[in-house]
Amino acid sequence: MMKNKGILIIIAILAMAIVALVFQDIRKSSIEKRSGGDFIYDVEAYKKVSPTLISHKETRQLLLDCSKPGGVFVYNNTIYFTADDELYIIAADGKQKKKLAFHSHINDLAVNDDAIYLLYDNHLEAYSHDKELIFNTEKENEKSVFTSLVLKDGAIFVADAGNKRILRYHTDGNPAGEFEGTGAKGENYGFIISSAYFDMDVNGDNELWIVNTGIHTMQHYSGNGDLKSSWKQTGINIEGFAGCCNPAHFAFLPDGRYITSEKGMVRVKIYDQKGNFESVVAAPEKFMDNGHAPDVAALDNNTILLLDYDKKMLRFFEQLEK
Amino acid sequence: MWTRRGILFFVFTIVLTLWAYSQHQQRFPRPEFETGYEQPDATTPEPRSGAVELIDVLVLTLALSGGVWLALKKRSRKGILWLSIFSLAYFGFFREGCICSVGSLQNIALSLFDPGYAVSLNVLAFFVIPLVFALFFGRIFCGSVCPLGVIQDLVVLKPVKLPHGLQTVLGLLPFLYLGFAVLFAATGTDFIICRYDPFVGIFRLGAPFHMIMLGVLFLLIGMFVSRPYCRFLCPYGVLLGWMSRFSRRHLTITPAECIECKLCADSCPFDAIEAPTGDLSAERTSKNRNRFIVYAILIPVIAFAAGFLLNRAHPYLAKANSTVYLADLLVTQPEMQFNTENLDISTFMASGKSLATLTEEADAIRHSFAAGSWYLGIFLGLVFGFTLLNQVIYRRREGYTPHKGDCVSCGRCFDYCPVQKHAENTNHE
Repeated sequence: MMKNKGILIIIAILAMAIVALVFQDIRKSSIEKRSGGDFIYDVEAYKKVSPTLISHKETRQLLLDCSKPGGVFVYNNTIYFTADDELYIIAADGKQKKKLAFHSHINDLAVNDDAIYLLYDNHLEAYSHDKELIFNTEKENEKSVFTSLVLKDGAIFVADAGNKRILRYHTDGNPAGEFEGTGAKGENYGFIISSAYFDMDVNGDNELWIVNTGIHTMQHYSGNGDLKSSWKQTGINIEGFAGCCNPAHFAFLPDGRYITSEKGMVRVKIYDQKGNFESVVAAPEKFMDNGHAPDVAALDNNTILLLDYDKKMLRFFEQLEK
Repeated sequence: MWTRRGILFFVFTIVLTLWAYSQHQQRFPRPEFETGYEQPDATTPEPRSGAVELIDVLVLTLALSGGVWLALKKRSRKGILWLSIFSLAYFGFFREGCICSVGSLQNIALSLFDPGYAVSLNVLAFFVIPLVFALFFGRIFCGSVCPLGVIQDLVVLKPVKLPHGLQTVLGLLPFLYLGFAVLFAATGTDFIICRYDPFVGIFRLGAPFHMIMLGVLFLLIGMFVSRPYCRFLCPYGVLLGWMSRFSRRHLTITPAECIECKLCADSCPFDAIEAPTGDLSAERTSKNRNRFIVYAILIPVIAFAAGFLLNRAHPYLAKANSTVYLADLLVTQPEMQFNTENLDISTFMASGKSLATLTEEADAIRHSFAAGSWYLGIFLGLVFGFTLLNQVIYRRREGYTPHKGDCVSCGRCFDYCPVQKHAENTNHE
């Protein structure tokens, strides 16, 4: 027995170490002492943006007397935007030209020489520039949530976030088909839309771009719904689209670069024509925490318009001189 | 020579295995955030498909059958060693130690007491099959299949014999662990066997610090005290030991008559070989009889006292349950509900559940602990009482025999028995 004394002492020490480890774990795991630790969602560090990345400065704000802004659109360098059930038409310098009232909240709009197209939750209405009703479409099903509207090649495209599809209408308001973002051979994902953020726009080359927010991807579709190209930026860093359903809104600059707008950690950025991050228009500090993504549009001189849903204002961001 | 049927069977097995593993591939890759973020390694194994689970059960059964053949028929320590290394590789490192038979008893306990908890057939198989084998052939599972046992077995360096009294006392720990594991599992509090599984961190090549350290410490102890976890903690070993005591075809040290040469006596690093006993003196017999009567009368008293004591302690035991602890915390320190940095508190506050509902749930769990601690106390009292009783029960043994409850059927003793060698020599002649 004595000849193993040293070994027994070692064993006793090791056994005590085991007991100590177990007790320490029990002590540490009590709810009282358990903090969120690694599970705390903390993105504060990502809200800071280097000043060298900022390409625009805010030059003007139009405070809106409304409960909920709708959408913003630029046509012939004139700004059209909606708030509640009203349509505002203003010049590029901010002077109001016209204000038209309609019957209920307008989600988005598009304008051409012939008409002003207004998008509601589940249907579309077209008016002349003198506010005469040209047509209204039949109401879609209960799941429909219309979020975006564009005009291309004599057709009207409507994004339906509720049904994860794009509806196509003739200019007289008659349905002309729909597509769901899946290819003929089923090679595409389809639209992964998990909340009512489903934007689209047409660039200067007449390309229809749709944001597949569930996979942080910008997708270029033909009018028939064939996927032609895409680019993707995922990440919480400034180069990527962070969190769920982003970019929630986007638009094009006159030269085809992308202006993207993200919700949650709200930030507005510019990507070049190939989808590479270029600069920041407005950093998160310009917006409310966990805010909504502002709708975006651009004037001919690259001034970017943000329709801020949280601060209820139309904000102008002019490009900084290089 | 390979027969045609044998080749077909081999090909079929390979194809079946490949198919089964193809079924458990992840259908969708993990999201890639392209931010330089490194995905942490999972510390729990990926879920397995039903087909692969079936293969696991098949491998378990085949390994146990192989262990029986090697221990009882071939009597090959080398064969058992290689089989145990395979089991360590498969059930330990490949299967990442989950699900293991040891932990499965908690799933079974929870399923018995919580009607809302269903136990899978795979878990049931891992719990029952080793017990069935133990009932017929002894603790083959421990010696040949259990990765927890094998990893300890491989590090035995200089085993020391512990004093008999210390062994007896330490031998009570597995019962204690079993009792608490069942109580905690049955009340939905925690799976403490998994939480403090010392080797799972090694099998998964990654785990919280305390789990890795537990494994390292147990392996260090295991160099001098053979299989410390199996002998002095393993709760499943208690059940296997009970089954094994009734096994009719248990491993034997000698293939024929023991010649009492004592050569095997020191070969067992687990002190599981019992020496032959002589006749007891009349005085000793009388003394034992008197003690037996006293202990037999004391057993119910001890059991009741232990049950009563643990029942009194149930409010403290119940605090191990997170619901009970949270309810107590928020009742005694209401200001804690504003502690938004505490994950449990903020989760509760965000759930919209009222404090009254939480305390009702806590009361129900306390009630379960009150009843459970009575049973646990009685169980532990009986274990203690019967351990005392065992000290005065005389069992006559002819020759050196393995203790059916403690022997893990590792086969180390085979090569020490000259009877076997004698038989082999005879065959040569």
